Amino acid sequence: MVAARLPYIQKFVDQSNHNYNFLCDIDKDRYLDWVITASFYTVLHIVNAHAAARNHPFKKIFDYESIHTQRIAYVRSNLRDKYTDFIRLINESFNARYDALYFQNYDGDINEFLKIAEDFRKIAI
Amino acid sequence: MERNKGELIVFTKDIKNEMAYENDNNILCGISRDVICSKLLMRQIKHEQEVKTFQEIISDLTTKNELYEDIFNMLIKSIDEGIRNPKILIANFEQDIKNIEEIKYKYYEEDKNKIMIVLLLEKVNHEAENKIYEKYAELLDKYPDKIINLRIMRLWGRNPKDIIDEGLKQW
Repeated sequence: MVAARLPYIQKFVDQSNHNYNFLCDIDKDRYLDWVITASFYTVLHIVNAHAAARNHPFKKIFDYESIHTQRIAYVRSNLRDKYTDFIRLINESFNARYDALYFQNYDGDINEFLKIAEDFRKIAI
Repeated sequence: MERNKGELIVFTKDIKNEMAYENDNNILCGISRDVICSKLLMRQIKHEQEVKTFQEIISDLTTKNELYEDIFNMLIKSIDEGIRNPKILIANFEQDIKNIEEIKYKYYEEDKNKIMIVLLLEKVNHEAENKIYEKYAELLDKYPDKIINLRIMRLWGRNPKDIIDEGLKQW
């Protein structure tokens, strides 16, 4: 019953909106790494909401990577046209968080990540 | 995350002896377009013995393992078309997995095969990276029962060894 899950679904939507608002607020030239990270977490919670609405919650059974792998598999199966963007965002957010030279050296177009986040926000939950 | 025994294959066009290194991830071999450096072959190099050519090693790999062949054909060749001097690292962790990893693999009912593909690019290359992501998706479709991870990292002038170490540590 979807109605019973609505609060659960909504919390993911709210979290995604919260992250997106942060994304909109920050100085994108100065905090490129956080642009990418916030884009990723905007998208991640949209995917969580999409999955929850279809009664497909990701189970935190063992560790973070297991959820991560479940989520990737879900996007591959259920949001196929968004899959490549999702993988790119995962990869870039990982680099942005862990590669100390990232925000100084990234030579791509950060607007691409904003567009990915905005595209995911258009998905019907 | 601790890694135990595994297999790590480094593809790079300009590999040098010092790049075929061993670390906690137990790297077994590195491959260049010209020379293969493995634990055995590193010793061969040190003793100025004859080493296998890149093509011989690829031939060995591809006849033994269809997955490697597919990775090579679908990924590496496509990258060669789009990027100059690609530095590609492929890790295959077939290991005695302990603790959390062992549980995880049981959960996924995996055959304890884990492939990590790490692409080391000099800088961002959107066209080539898009192609890589597409090929990666094809690879996942073909091997749905495998855990195949992909990381694309940039060198930005750094020594590949430094970010390989750091990248694998964080993975």
